[in-house]
Amino acid sequence: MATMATPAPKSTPGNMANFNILHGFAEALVRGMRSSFLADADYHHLTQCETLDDVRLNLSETDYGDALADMNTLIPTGLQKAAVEKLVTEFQYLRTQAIEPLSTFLDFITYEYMIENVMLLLKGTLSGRDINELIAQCHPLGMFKESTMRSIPTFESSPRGYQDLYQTVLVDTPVGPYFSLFLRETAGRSEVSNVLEEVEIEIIKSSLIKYWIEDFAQFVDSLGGETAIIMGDLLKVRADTNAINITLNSFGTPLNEPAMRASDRKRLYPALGHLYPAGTSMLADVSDEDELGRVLELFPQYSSIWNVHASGGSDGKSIDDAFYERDVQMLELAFEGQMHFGAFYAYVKLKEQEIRNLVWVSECILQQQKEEIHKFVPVFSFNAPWRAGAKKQGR
Amino acid sequence: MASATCQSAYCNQGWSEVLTHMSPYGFANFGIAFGLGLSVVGAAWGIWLTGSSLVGAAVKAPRIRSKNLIRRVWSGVDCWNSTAIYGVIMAIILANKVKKPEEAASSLSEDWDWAGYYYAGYGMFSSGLSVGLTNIASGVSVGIAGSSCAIGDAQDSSLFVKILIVEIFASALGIFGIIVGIIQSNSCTFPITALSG
Amino acid sequence: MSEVPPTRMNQQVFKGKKKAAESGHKLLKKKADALKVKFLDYAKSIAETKSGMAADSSSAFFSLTQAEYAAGNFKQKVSEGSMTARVRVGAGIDNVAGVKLPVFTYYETGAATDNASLGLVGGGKKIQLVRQKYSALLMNLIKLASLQTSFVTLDEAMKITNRRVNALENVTIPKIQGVLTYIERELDELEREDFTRLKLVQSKKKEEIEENQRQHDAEAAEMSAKGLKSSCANESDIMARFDASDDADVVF
Repeated sequence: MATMATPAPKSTPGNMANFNILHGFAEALVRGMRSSFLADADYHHLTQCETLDDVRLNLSETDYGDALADMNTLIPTGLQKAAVEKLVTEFQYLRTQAIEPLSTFLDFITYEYMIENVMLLLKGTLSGRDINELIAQCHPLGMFKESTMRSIPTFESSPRGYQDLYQTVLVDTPVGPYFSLFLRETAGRSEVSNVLEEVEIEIIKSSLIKYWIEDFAQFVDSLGGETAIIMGDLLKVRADTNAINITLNSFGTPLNEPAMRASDRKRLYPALGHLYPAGTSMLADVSDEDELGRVLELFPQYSSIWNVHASGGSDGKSIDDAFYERDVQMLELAFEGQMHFGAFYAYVKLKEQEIRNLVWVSECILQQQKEEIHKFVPVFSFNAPWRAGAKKQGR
Repeated sequence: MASATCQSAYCNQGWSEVLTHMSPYGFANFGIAFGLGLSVVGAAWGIWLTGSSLVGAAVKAPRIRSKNLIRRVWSGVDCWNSTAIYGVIMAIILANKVKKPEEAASSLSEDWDWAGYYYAGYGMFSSGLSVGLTNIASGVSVGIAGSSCAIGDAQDSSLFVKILIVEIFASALGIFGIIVGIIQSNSCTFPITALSG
Repeated sequence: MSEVPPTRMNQQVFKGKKKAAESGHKLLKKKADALKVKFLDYAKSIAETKSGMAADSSSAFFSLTQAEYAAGNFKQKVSEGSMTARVRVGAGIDNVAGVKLPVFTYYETGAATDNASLGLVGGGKKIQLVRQKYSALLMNLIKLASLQTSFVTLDEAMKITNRRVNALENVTIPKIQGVLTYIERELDELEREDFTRLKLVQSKKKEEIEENQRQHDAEAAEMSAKGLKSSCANESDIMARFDASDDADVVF
């Protein structure tokens, strides 16, 4: 926590009276994109479709129409690709309109995808894959600068090559500091190639994500105002979600061995959130689901989510669905608040959820799994449980 | 304190002396300047806040770019211009009350209406401030409300009328200022001749 | 058929052949039956595996969809992982009634589970489910492949066996039988002919003897008058009685 990658911003987003002066346009742009979310009616029509051609027909009347216009046949992966590209175009448009400190904030959102891409590139070159092929697989939101991207293929696929790749190129990317932080913590294993070979890719990624969340939270905190309150809460919850998921998913893997629990698993828990530090230190000793449940009992906001998992998914819901539902609710609230940066983060995340939903619906149609088709979390739905509850109370 | 540092007859003995020795004409004209200037600052601030949101929201909702934009801008301009116009009205009213003495002399006579003279000066200064400060508040308030309203209207045009009422509430704050300002300045008249008798 | 000379020896040879053919037929028939039983067995288990397979594979593919919903796109991470196989297919041989059937077996190489912590920050449980479902699917797939290959091989073997059984039953054995009956008939015929000829010869001889006796008597009577001349004429008469073309078949 002491040495964080990103310096504190030079200015703050400001309060109600002067936020709009610098960021009003970009914020209004992102709010204008609220109309591009699929509505309940769209989801209803999509779930009634019999074939993917019907899906395409229905989507052509929505905001996705242009993105899908030049596609001959709709397949779920193609749909996902087109939708992600559309999101990236929108995001880059926002990024070009943003000025400090919003531009740094938007860059922070992309670091998450950059981490994924760095891992993919390093691991891919390590196993001797064609680098151009790897670049094609990278998440477009996490692309590095054009010059970085162009220099990557010039490195040879040898131990020496990726050592150079790391030392000369990746260290200079925005996520490079997280990587060197990870290398420093994994002391004694200074060689990049050794660490990449010895440590599982998912664990490196989780560590980098942890540094990213901590850095992001610190940056957001220094912005102050509404942004610090709303975005800070989103990141705290995200950190908690990661900690719970890491604990839950480590059961049955080497990470759950008593020796690894304290050393390796505990290190993956972000040093912030509602669970930190009392909760995470309890999570570090957890060895099975019952113990995890007992720890989460103490935190009311997570015990309800845990109960979804503990009840074995009574209505077919898994803990991931419960987390998604909670995320969507929080992100919707964050998006609807004005004069803070959280709306940008919420927009990207909600769009991601929508893309997930689209892929889910089209996969269900493709695989003839009609009874499963409704198991997604719609965004800005009037039928969402939290809204339905509010309506009842209102009457 | 002041006497400790300055013993000369030409030294000011603190702020009270500066303010009391300033010409009421100066106060009156500063009042006009503050009234108009702060009102325009308020209006400008408001338009800035809303304008950026309005333009941004219009990108994804071309609907408000054409027909509704005119309505919106008209209402917005109405709200903010009313803010600026209050300042202008107040400035004109006050400016009309500043009258120079009939007999121009290097010094005023002994039987000059000093009380009325100072009353008019302070009165017009503060009435200008009343209008100016309330209009800043009203302008910023209309701006923040208008910014949210522009975004809301971009998503759901049926909200337009309801939203407009909110903006009018904010805009009404400026009216309080101008009413009080006019009342304040009503009894402020610069004496133009010496008191007779 | 006609090439076979109807002799006693050939009869013996063909009797042996018939016996051999019949026992071969019996054995092949048994084999065919065994193969048929196995074949039906396989057909049944293939049908069972296949019907289970449709549901299995669709649920496996759907679990992948579910995992991708929960954990995002993780295919590339899997493909970037180490490429040592955890499961291999072994080939063995099963022997059913002399037919060699290929058998594929599923065995684990014991390599450590790769990417065990995939989906660590979300969706890990779903990915584990995918792993399970696809492992089960793979096992079924290997089983089905083994069954299917055996099925095809067995089918081929059964066809050949059945052809042999039918050939023995409908061609070879009737043919041998035909030769045998022919030989028997011919031998009978020859016997009868011999008998008749012998009888005829006997009667002729008797007649001749009588004639000779009579002639002798007469000659004796004439001899007394003419001498030895007539006996020569009688001999040429006997030769003319037998026509050589009548007995063309009989070659001794």
